[in-house]
Amino acid sequence: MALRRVAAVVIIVTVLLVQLAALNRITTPAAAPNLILVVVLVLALLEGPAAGMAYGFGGGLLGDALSTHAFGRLALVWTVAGYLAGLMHDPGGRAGERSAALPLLAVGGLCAASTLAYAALDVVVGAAHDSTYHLIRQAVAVGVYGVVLAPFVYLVLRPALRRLEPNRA
Amino acid sequence: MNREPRRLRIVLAVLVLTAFTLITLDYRAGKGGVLGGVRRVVSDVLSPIESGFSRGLRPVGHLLGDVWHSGRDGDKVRTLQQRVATLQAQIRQQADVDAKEASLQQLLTFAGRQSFGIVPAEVIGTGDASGFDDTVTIDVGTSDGVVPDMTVIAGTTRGGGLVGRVLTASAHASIVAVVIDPGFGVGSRLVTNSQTGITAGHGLAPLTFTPLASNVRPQKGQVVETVGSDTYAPGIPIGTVESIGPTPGATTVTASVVPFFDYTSLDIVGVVVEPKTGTGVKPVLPTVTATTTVTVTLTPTPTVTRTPGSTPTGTSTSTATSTAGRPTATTTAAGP
Repeated sequence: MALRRVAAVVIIVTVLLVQLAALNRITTPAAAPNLILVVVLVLALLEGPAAGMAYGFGGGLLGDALSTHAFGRLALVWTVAGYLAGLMHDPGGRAGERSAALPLLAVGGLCAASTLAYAALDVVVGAAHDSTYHLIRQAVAVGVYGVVLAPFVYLVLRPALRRLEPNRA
Repeated sequence: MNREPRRLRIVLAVLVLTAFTLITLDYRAGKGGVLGGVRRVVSDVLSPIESGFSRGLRPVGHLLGDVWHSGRDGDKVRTLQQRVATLQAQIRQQADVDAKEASLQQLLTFAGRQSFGIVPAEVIGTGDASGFDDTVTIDVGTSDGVVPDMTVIAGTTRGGGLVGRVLTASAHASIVAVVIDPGFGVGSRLVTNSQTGITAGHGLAPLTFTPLASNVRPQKGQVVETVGSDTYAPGIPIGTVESIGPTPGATTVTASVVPFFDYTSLDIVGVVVEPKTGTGVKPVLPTVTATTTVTVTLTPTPTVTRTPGSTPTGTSTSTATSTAGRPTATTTAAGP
């Protein structure tokens, strides 16, 4: 258990730094793909709601620290998103393995919803923000890229975490 | 198993409230406070790793971008374009260092012409994890004499321009808000007729220039530059006027401005630590103990040769002092 947690923390820190160092430079239409959010949500999906919100909160705080926006904004949104993704966790795989397709689609949806929720906080506190048109465009793009990225992230992380703890699903 | 969800929801509520509290605290404290300290510590610990990732992964990013932009036409064209893109990316990978040398040279030339004392820096991060911050992270900080609110510039083939201003600085890294940031607003003027106005960022929507006088109509292609203020050094080009439209509910017009830089592709920038020596603007540079003094030469057709790992050399009157291994170039050259 502990080993999986440590691995998850290392993965989150690494991917966050890769996101800032390289991925945010990619000029895909409307927005850069948000790999770090997908990774946090897929980890939540694999580990359940408790771990999900812990990763969301921790990863969000780290993201907040490496930014200039208000401290706690990402943490707030990602905690809830991690919790929701964790609720789709399939603990046992009792009656054979459930298809992961639907949860992964939901991860994409959560990416889009998180982007909108994060932007909405700007409106709530009355800070300067992008136009609504661009916000929605960006949220949709992040969601679409999330749907595309989630299966790959899932296919990499699931076996990796399993290897660390072979007797768990 | 039944009480588990309830407990989880309580934890969730506690975490959400904690995050809310942090947001409130951060808004109250502004840039300083405990949370500012946390930011600096995290930045001190993680920026070296970020810097390493940035150097290692940038060529890969260029490659992905090229492949993406090439994949829009017919099959054959696409294959060929991808091959060209791949080859171009490979060339770029090898020429990465050369490109950095070139932009450093352009930057030094521009800074010399403007008589700015600058600290050159490399971009090690772009934006933040939310995807909304219009910022870049650079590899210089308070130990290099960089403090918040300093102007950041970069060189281009046609001269140079404004990148933005330093928002936060830790020991060895700083975060710079770029001109398109929605919080950005700077006093500026049209270069050709000196009409003043405000240039403001709007995130993904275009940068705008709004003249102060209602009878001014900016022309397409006119360059907008800073007028100089407490924060921004004067005479730095921001961008060129692209189109002109009416401001809703106002008598003035608003011009869309295309900035000189796409900030996602910036590599080398310079922090202005000593704006315009001799114009009465106070240098903000802390006392620098010079460890090495190198003569930099800038000829009218600027040729600053820079061998990797060494300091620039050339032929005009400039001095570069180096603190902690980073050159602080104070160039004095005859302005236009």
